[in-house]
Amino acid sequence: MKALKWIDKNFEVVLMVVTLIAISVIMTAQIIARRFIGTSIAWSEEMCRYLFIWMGFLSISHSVRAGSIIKLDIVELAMPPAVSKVITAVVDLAMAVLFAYLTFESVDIVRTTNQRWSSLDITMNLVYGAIPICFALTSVRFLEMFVIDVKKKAVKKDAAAIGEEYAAAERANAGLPEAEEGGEK
Amino acid sequence: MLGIIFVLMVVLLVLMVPIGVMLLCVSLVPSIMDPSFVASIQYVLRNMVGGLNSTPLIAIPLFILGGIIMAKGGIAKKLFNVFAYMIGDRTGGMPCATIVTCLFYGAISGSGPATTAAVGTMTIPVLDEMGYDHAFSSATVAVAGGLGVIIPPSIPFIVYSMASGASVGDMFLAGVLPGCLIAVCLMAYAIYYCRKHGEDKEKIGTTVRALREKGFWNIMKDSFWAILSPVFILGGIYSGLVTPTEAALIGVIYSGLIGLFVYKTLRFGDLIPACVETVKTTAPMLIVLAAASSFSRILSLLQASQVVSGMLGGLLEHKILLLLLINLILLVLGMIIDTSPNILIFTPVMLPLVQALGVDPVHFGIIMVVNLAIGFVTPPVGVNLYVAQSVSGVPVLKLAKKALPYILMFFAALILITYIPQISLLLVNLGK
Repeated sequence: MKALKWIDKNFEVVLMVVTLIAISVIMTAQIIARRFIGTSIAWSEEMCRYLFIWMGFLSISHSVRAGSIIKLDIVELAMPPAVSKVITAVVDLAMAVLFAYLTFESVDIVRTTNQRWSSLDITMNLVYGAIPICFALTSVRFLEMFVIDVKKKAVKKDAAAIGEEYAAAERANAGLPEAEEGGEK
Repeated sequence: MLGIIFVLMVVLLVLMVPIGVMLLCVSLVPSIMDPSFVASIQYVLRNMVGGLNSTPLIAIPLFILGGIIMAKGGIAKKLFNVFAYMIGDRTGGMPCATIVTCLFYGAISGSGPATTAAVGTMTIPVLDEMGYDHAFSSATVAVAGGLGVIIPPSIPFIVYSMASGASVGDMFLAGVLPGCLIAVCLMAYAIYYCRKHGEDKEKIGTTVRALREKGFWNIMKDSFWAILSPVFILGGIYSGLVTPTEAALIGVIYSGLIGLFVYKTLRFGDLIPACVETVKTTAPMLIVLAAASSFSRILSLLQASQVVSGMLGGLLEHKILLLLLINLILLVLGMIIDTSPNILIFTPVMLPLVQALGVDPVHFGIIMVVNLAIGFVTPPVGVNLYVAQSVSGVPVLKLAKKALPYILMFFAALILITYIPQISLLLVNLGK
C-alpha cells in the first residue's frame, strides 16, 4: 500500500528526472567531444530534444496529480466553496473524457507515421508515442483527481491560502526551511 | 470563429480549466466546427510535439537546476556581505545593498520568486537587526526580487524567444541595462526613504566595521566563485563558444563543482533531490509551452492579428498611445495570469501590431517581461508578495502598501524602457 502511494505520487517524477539526467549527460558528452576531442556525437542534439518532448508530455499528468498545473485559481475566491467544488469535479470528469478521446485520435498519428530520425535509423514513433501514452495517463490522473475532489470537503479558500501554496513551492526550490508561523498575521 | 474562441477561452479560464488544457481545447475548436479546416486534431497534437522540439527550451530546466544547486551554498548572504562592505555606511546603503544583491542573485537564479525567497530569508533579519522597519525591508526584497526575471539568464526571456522567434542570446543581452535601470530607480526610492525616516547609524557602523575588519579579500573570496557563474554563462554565450542551452548546462556543472568542492555545502546525495525539485518546478510550464505552440498556429491561420488590428483602427497610427495601451493591458494581465502563459498567449497577437510600427521584437520582449515583473508584486496574485509574506510574516496587503512607491518607481523605469528603445537595444547592437 505504501509502495503504491509512493508510485502514485512519484511515477512521472522519476521518469522526468531520468530524462533530465539523460539530457545533461548526453549534452555534457557532446560538449566534451566537440571541444576537447574534436569529434561530434551526431545524434546528441536530436536525442536531447526528443527526451525533452517526453519530459514535457510526462509533465502534464504529473502537474494534474500534484495540483501544480497553472490555472486561474483566484476565481475560487469569488465563489462559494460548494460551487467551486462542483465545478472542479465536473471539469475533472470532462477533462478525463477529453484526454481519453485525444488518446484515440493520437493512436492514429502513431499508426500513420513512417518518419525516421534524421541522425539515426529509428522510428519517430518513439517520439510521437509520447502523445497517446501520456494522454492516457493524464486521463487516468484526471479521473483520480475527480475521486479526490469529490471526497474532499468544500473549504473556503482565501488569498492567503493560495499564496501559501505558491510560497511553499518557492521555498522548497530555494532549499529553505519551512517558514515559521507568527509574525504579524 | 475568433469571437467563439475568445469567449470559450474566458469561460474555460473562469471554470478553472488549467491554462495549458484550455489552450489545447480552443485549438481544437476550428476543426470541430469546420472539418475541412487545415488544422485537424492530429495537426494540433503534432504541433504540441513540435512546440517542445526545440533546443533553446531545454535551457529552462537546466537554468532552474543550476539555480537550485547554487542556492544550496547560501550565496545570497555572501553576496550581501560584499555589497554591504562597499556601500553599507552610506545613506540608505543597507537597503541598496539588498537591492544589488537581488540584482546579482537574479543573474544566478533566473526566477523572481526564487530570488525573493533566497535573498529575503538572508537579508531581512540582518536589516531588522540594524533597526530598519520590518515591513519596509520585506517590501524592498519583494519588489527587487522581480529583477530576477529581467537580469539574464531569465526563463521568461527564453519563453518569449520561443513565442517571437527572437534569439535567446539577444534577449539576454538586452535585459542587462533595463535591469540595472530598474535597480537604480528602486535604490533612489530606498535612499529617499532612509533620508526621510532616518537610520540607526551606530548599528550600521558596527556591522560595516565588523565586515571591514575581515578585509575586502576575505569577504570577496566567499562570493567570488558565485559571482563568476553568471560571468561564465553569459561570457560563453556572447563569445559564441557555446549556445545558451549549453551555457545553462555548464552553469549546472559549474555550480555543482563549486558546491561540492569549494564551498563544500553540497553533497553528492543532494543532487538527485535538486533534480526532483527542478522537474517539479518546470512541469507546470511545459504543457503551456506545448499547447501554446499549437494555439499560436491556429491564431495565425485565422489571421488573428489582422482582425485585432482592424478593431484597433486609427489607434495603430499612434505608436505612443498603442504602446501605452499595451502596457496597461499587460499590467492588468500580469496581475491575474502567470508569466509564461501570458507571454505565450499574447505575443503572437501583440507583436505583429507593434512590429508594424517599427518596434523591435527584442525591445518588445523586454517591455513585456518588465510589465509582467511588476505583476509579481501586485495583488491579487503577486507571487513575490506571497513569498515575501511567508519569509517575513508581514501580511500581503501591508506589504503591497509599503511596496507601492517602489512599484511606482518600477513603473517609471518601464515607461523609460518603453519609449527609449536604446536602453534595451544598445548592447545588442554593440554586440553585432
